Amino acid sequence: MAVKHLFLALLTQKELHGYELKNGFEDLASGKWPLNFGQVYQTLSRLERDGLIESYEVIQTDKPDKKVYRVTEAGRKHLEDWLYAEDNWNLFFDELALKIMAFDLINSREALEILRGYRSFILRVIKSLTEMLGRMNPTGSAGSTHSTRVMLVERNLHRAEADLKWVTSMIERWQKYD
Amino acid sequence: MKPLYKTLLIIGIAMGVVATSLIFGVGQGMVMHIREKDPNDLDIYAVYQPTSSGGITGMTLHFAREIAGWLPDDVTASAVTFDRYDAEVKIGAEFFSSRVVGVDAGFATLFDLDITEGRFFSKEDQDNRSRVCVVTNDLVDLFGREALSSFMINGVEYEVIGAVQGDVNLASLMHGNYSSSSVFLPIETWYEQFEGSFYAGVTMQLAVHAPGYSKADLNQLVSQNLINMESAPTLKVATPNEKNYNAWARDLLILAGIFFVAFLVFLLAGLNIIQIASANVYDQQRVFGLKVALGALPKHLAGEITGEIVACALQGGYLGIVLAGIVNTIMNHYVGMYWAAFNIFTAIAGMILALLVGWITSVIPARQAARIDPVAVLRQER
Amino acid sequence: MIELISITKVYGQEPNTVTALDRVTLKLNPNELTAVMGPSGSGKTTLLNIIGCLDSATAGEYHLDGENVAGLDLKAKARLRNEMFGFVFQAFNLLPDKTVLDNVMIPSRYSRRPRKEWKPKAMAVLEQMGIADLALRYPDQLSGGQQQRVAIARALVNDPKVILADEPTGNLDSATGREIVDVLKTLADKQGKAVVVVTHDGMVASQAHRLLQMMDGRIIDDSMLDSSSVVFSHPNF
Ligand SMILES: Nc1ncnc2c1ncn2[C@@H]1O[C@H](COP(=O)(O)OP(=O)(O)O)[C@@H](O)[C@H]1O
Ligand SMILES: [Mg+2]
Repeated sequence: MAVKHLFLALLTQKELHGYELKNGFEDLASGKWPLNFGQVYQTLSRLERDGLIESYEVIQTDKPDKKVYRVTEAGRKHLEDWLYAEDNWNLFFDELALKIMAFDLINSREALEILRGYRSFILRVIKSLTEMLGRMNPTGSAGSTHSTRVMLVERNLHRAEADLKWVTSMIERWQKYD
Repeated sequence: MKPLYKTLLIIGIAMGVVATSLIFGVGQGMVMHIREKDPNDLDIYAVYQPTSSGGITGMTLHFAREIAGWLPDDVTASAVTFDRYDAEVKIGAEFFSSRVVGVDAGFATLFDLDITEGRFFSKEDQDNRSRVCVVTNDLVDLFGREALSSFMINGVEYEVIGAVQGDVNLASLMHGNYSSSSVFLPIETWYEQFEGSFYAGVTMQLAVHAPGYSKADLNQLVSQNLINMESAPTLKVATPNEKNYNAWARDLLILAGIFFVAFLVFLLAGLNIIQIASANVYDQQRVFGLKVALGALPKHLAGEITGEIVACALQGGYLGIVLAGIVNTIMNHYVGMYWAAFNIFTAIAGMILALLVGWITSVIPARQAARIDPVAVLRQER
Repeated sequence: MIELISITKVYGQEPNTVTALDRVTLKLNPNELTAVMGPSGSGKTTLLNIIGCLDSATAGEYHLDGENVAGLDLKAKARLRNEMFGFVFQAFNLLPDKTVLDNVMIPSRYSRRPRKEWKPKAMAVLEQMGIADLALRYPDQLSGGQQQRVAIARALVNDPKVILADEPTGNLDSATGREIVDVLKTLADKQGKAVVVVTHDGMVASQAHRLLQMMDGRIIDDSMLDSSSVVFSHPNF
């Protein structure tokens, strides 16, 4: 579960309280992955239980007291391990993967229809991602292209493009049996 | 149009115009020239279309004698040099520009010249190459007998042995006019001046007295002998020329014939143009297809093609006329007086022919271009 | 503005006929960039040629601004191609022996515009394409992207209402291809042109407002590429 690792990563920079961690994470995810407070505090209490972070109370006079978190040595080690660990490859990473499994069970005309729909979908995804990229880097200047947010969108664009090529060739192949 | 096609077109038209201009220019003349190639390329012979009692012109002395030998006994002939090679004559202390003419001893008899003083030179004078001369009597009147005793031509002293009546009009018989202020020398003596020179081939003419013979008879006689000559293969017909415009009707007929030949030559050039222009249209199909796609009408394409070909025809015509001029100049240089009639009319005729052929021949490629299917040619990508 | 009703195009003579377009019905609108995708031989080029009055349909109706195009003669169609449509090709199709400026002026030469307007108008569209400084160069001195911009300038020079581009990015690398699509998109967005782009490149197609998918001469899908309908998800936790 990745959210906790990002929390550890955020805490390596400075001590933060829960609300700041939630905002920091959402910011890294370009606002595309909202968290709710329940999830945030559940995660934090687990991290604390496992000794990866520790916390202390800051007494505030005009506002309620707040809890501030800092990363422990074990937490840094844990983050390091996660960052360097090799990923799994999820063979069934989206719904289409499961739909493909069903293709043998439905008629080919339907399968073709689904693939065409998917191509149109992918095209809209590409369009949307391109627009997203355009908003991040409106002038097209090279300045922000190293930002992790841009990297993330670009990776999605590349995968979408690859998927588009795949689905196009699939359509052409299935058309022959049509 | 691709530069290659353009160049080919221009060259094609230029060559057509050269050929045409030469044929046309030459066609304005009437004289058949016969040229001996070897051993001396400068020996250029010509048989002048003899008028009724005419002459045969443009040959070496050797050849003039040869031709005289072919003539029947009742035809008398005398070799005569042209009058145009003027010499510097010094009479007494005065220099005087005079026509100096080399003639055979029989010349006076042939033309029935009146000998006013002394005698005409004899066969012996001729054989001995003696330095004697006969003058027209107007020179005697002009300078007096005394002065004539010291008579130099081109720095060589000659003895004046007689005088002849000077106002005889020989112009109708011969090339030139010996009617006055002329000096007659034995032809061998005078010919020394030219032998082996540039002019050797054209200095001589043969004056012929042929009562009862038509010029066609004479011409046939001479031509036949030329053909029968041992050396005939080394002789070839070269550029003829005519200064005698008597026979207008026949000239026109021949001119028309020559124009027709010129037109045939140019028609060949025209076929060539069509070929090149069609190849161009085929090669440029995509370009024409594209233009149609961009809204060009057949008339636009036809206009462009005609414009291009006519532009080429203009350039080719111009080039051809310049080339023809050069060829003519060179030819005339070697042939001496026999320059083909290359003049402004020939140039204009060449240009008009070029334009006409360019314009006519552009019709076919223009049609081809209009028939191109843009969809088909644009479909083949690249 | 443009309406095709059940357009059919058959090539060849019986019995060797090919049905390049099979009862295609389609409407094109101003301000719209339409991408056409489909396997090769599916009739994309034929569709473009018929829309552009370069080819005529075997059957069906074609209404252009309310007028039936089928009834027009060769001359009227040439005029329409010249004034109403701008063509852009994969191979650029610039004339190599003419300068950029002369290339752009070609459609003007076949138009009714007075001669004195040709050059200023050509310079204006070159300016708009951002390549006015290349006006006196020859096509082989330009990059592929610049050549395609010249071709687009040429397509625009007579102020057409419709731009028809047949695989305009097919000879370009993807970055340059994107630039060219952006240019075409601007023509739709800012100048109200109806732009039709045939393409194999999904990245190009994805920029369109509308996607037509073709198959065996038929339009099998005609949908708006509405990016706002895309839902991005994330792992639950
Ligand atoms: N002039 C023609 N004669 C015969 N068949 C043609 C002609 N032009 C196109 N076709 C056929 O029409 C079909 C559609 O062609 P086209 O429109 O070029 O397809 P695309 O542009 O999608 O590749 C193809 O099967 C092609 O072979
Ligand atoms: Mg095509």
